Amino acid sequence: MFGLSRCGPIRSHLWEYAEGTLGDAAVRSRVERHLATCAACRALVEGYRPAAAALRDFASFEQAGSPARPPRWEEVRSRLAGSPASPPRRRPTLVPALGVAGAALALGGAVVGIRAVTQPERYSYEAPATPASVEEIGRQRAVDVATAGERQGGPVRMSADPAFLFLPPRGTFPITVQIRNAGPAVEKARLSVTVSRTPGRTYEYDVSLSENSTTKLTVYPSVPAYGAPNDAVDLTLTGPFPRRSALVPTGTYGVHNSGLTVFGYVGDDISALHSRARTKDGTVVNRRDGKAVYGYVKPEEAPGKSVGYEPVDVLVLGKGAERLSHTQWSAIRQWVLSGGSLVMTAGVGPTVVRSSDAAEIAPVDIGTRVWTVYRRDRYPSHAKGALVRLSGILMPAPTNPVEGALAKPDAEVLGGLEQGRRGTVVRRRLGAGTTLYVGIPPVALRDTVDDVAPFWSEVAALAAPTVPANYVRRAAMESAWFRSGNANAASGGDPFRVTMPRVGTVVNIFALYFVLAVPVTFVVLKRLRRMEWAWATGPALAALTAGGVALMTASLYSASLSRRTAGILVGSPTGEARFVGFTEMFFPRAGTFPVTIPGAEAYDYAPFDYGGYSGPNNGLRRDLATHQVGGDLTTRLPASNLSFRRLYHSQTVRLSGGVTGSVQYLPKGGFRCEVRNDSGRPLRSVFVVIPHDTAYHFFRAPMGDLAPGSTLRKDFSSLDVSTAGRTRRGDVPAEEAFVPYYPLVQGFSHASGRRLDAPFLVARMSGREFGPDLGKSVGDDQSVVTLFALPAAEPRTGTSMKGGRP
Amino acid sequence: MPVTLAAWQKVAATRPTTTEDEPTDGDLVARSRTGDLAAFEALYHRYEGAVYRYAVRLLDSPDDADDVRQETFVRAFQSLARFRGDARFKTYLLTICGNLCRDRHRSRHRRPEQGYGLELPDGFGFAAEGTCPLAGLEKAADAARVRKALGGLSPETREILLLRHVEELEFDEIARVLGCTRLSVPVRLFRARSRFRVAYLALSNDET
Repeated sequence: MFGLSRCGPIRSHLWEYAEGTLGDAAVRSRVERHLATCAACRALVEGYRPAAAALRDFASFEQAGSPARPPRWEEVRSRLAGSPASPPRRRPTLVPALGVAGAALALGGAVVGIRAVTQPERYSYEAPATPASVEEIGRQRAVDVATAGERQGGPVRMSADPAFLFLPPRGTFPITVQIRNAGPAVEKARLSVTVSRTPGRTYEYDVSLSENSTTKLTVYPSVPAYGAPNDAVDLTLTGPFPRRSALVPTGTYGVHNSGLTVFGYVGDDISALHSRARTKDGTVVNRRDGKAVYGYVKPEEAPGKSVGYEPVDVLVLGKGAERLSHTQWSAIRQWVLSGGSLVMTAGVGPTVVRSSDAAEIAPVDIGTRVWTVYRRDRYPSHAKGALVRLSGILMPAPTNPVEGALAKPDAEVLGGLEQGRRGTVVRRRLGAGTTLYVGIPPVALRDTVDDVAPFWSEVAALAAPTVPANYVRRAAMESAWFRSGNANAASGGDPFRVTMPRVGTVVNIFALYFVLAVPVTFVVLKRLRRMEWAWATGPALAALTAGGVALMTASLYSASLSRRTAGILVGSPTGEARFVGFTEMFFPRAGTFPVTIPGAEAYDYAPFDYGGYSGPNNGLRRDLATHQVGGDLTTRLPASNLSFRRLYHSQTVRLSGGVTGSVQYLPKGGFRCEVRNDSGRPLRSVFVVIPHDTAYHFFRAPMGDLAPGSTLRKDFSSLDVSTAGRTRRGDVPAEEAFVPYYPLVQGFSHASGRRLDAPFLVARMSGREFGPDLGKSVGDDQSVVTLFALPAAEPRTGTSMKGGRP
Repeated sequence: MPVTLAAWQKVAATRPTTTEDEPTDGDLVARSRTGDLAAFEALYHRYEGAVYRYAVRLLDSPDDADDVRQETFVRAFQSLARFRGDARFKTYLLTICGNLCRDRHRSRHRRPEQGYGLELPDGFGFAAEGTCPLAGLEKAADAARVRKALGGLSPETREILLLRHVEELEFDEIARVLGCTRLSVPVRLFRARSRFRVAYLALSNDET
C-alpha cells in the first residue's frame, strides 16, 4: 500500500513520469529516488505506461480526426441574428430559500426550549414507633452515637444527635454536635455534614477547639422532604488528628403532607407530652397517638436559630425553659413571627421566666401570677383522671391550685376561672404566628390523666398560627406572580436595567447569516467559479454575525450588578418583622461576590440560574451556614457571566412604621378593602392579598398607590385569583370559601358585615431595607416587593382602621 | 505500439491551425461583443471541432453532440458579456459544453431514449483522413479500446481525462470547466487515471 506521507506528493507525478512527459528534472529525480525504494509506486508506473501511451495516442487520434458532423455555422448564425446577448438564466432560488427556512425553523425550535416539569415522588408517611421508654431510648441513642465516636480513640472525640429527639426530619433538621478535645488546642478543624450520602449536598464548618475543652454546636442541614429509606446524615471531623465520624439516621418520613401535628417540647422532662395508657391489669404502657408526633429537647440543646424549629408545628415550653439563652429566645421569637405556634405552660410560668425576650412575646404579663383555687366540691363529676371542659378547653380535672396569669392588652383570654383579663388560657397573635399560655404544667398533666392526646390536640388547634410557616414560605414564592403579572407596575419593565436583546432580533441576525452565507457560497461564488473564496467569505460572514451579536450583548456585559427582593414581610405589634422571601441577583460578569444579609438565619441558594428552581427546602441550602447567631450572614457567592441567581433568605427587620389593612365582606356581595400606610415610605401598586382555602390560592385586590400617612378604601366585586402561580379573573367567592383554611377568619361573622383582617399586603417599595448587600456596586433599581401581614394589635370593633404600630 | 508519435504529428499537421496572422481569441471576442457575427464565425470555426469532440465523448452520441455544439455556441454568444477574458475562450466554451452535456445526461436518465453503445461513430476515424490504412486500422483498433475503456468509466471520470489528455487543459482550466476547486483537480485526476488504467489493462488482457 501507499505510504501516505511518502507516496502522496509523488503519486500525482507518476503518470507524467510513465508517459515520459515529466519536464521538471528535479521532480523527475525525486520520483526516481522514490521509485527505487517503493515497490508499490513502481508497480503503479508499470501499469501506467501502456495506459498512458494508449491515451496519448488516442488524444492525438481524436485531435486529428474530423468531426462526424460538419460545422453548421449558418444555423448558429440564424439563431444569433435575432437574439442579442441576453442575461443569463437565473438558477432556481427555491432550494436556498428552503434551506434558509429550515435553518430558521431549527433555530426557532432551539430558542424556544420546553422544560419538562417533574413532580417529586411522594412517599407515604409512616409514623415512628413509640419507644418503650422515651428517656431510656434517648439515653441509649446518645450513648450509641457517643460510643461510635469514642471508639476511635485519640484525644478528640465527637458525638452527634438530632436536636429534637424522635422528631421526623423535614426541611432543616437541627443536629447537635459535641466535640471533646482532651489534647492541645486545634486551631483549624473542619466539620463536614453530608446529607443523604449524596455528594454535592455537603455543609462545611470551620471549627477551632481549645485545649482540654468541650465544643458544642448545632448544624442545620436541609433534609429532603421526601427522603429515601435509610437515609442518614454523615458527620466527619477532620483536623490534625485521626478522622472522626458520626452518623445520624433520618429515616423515611413525608411529614410535609402527612397532616400530622408535630409537637416539639423544650424542657427537662422529655416525656412530658407523651401519652400513656393503663391496661386492665393496671400496668402502664406507652400509647401511640396516630395524629401527632412528639419531639423532645433539653433547653440547653434547643436550636439557636429559628430555622432549627422548622420541623415543629407546635413548640411547647415546659419546666426548665427558663434556662433558654437570649439567643435561643430570639430564635424562637423569629420562628413565631414567621408562622410558628408557641405554647408556654405553667411550668415555664411567670415566676420562672425572667428573660426580657420571653416577656416580649409572652401572651401574659411576666411576673404576674394569678392563683385560683380549684374547688372540687363545685365540680363533683370531675374525678381525678377525667378530662373536663374547663377554662375553655378540654383539660384534665386539675389539682389545686390552678395557675393563671394576667393577659397582655393585645392578647385574648380564651378561658379562665377568673373574670376580666385574668386567664388560664390566653392567646396572642404575633406576626404570622401565635403564642398561647396554658396554665397547666405538662408533667402534672401526664401524672393526672392517662391519655393527654386529646388535650394537646385542642391546644394545637387553639395555638394554630395566623398563617402557618410553610404557607408563609409558599406565599413568599408565590409573590413571583406579582412581579410577572405586573411587570410594568412593579419594576418599571426592567428591574435589572439590563437591555436584553429580543429573541426576534437574535433570530433575525442568524437568519440573515444563513440568507447571506448560503447564496454567497453556493450561488454567487459557484457562478463566479471562485468556490475557493468560500474559505474567506465563510469566516468573514461568521465574524460579522458574531460581531452583530456581540454589539447587542455589549450592553449586558457593561450592565451593573443589580438585585431585586420579593417576599413576605410579617409584622408584629412589637415593631419587629420577619422577612421571608428571596432576592434575585443579576451578575453581568463572573466572579465571587461577598454578600451580607443583616439578621439573616435561613437561606437557600440556587447555585444555578433559577429557571428550574422551585423554592426553598429543595436541599440546596449549603455553604452559607454560619454559627454567628443573631449576627449578619456574610458569605461569598460564586456566579458566572450573565447569570441570574436567586437567594432565598429569611431575616429579622425592624419596621420604622406599620401598614395595616382590613377586608370587609359586604352583605350584598363582594369585598371592601382598606389599607393605611404608616410606614413612612410611599407604597406603589398596593395589593391586598387574601389567602383562600389552601396555600395555593390567593385573591388579590389592586389598591393603587399609597402615600405615607394616607388611607385607601375600595370595593371589589371580582378579584384576580392566583392559583399555583397562575392568575385569572374570578368572582368573589362565598365567604365560606375562606373559612376552612384561615383560622383568623373563623372568629368573625362576615354576614354581619364585620371586619376581616387582611393578612397580607402586597406593595412595591423602594429602599434597601431587605435583601442582601452585595460587595460590589448594586444597580439603581432597589425595588422591593413585599407582603405585609399585620394582624390585630389589640381587639378592635367596627371597621375603623388602626394605623401604625403602638 | 507500431505507430510513432511522429506519424501522428504529421497527421495532426493536416488540421487547420491558427497562425500568427490570424486575429487572437481576445480580438475576436471583443469584436463579437459588439455584435460582429463574422468575428464570432471565426471563433466558431476555430473551436467547433474541440467542442464537438468533447461532447461526443461525453455523450456517446454524434447527434446529441451536434446539438450540443450548436447550443454551446449560441449560449456562448448570448452570454459573452460574462466572459471576462481571464481564461481561454476554449475553456469558456468547454465549460458551457460540459454543462449542456451534463444537463443532457440528466434528462437522459429521466427519459432513457437510447442506449449508451460504444460503437464507433460513423465516418469518424483515421481512414477518413486518407492516410496509411494499415496504421489507421491498428490505430483505430487501439483507439476503439481506449474509447471502450473510457465508455466504461463514469461521466465525471471520463470528463476530467478528456479535458486533461485530449483537450490538454491546465489544472485551473479544468477546475473552471468542472466547477470544482483547483486543489481538487490533481486528486480527481489521479483517481480517474487509476480507474482508466484498470479498465484499459482489463480490456487489453481480454483481447490477448
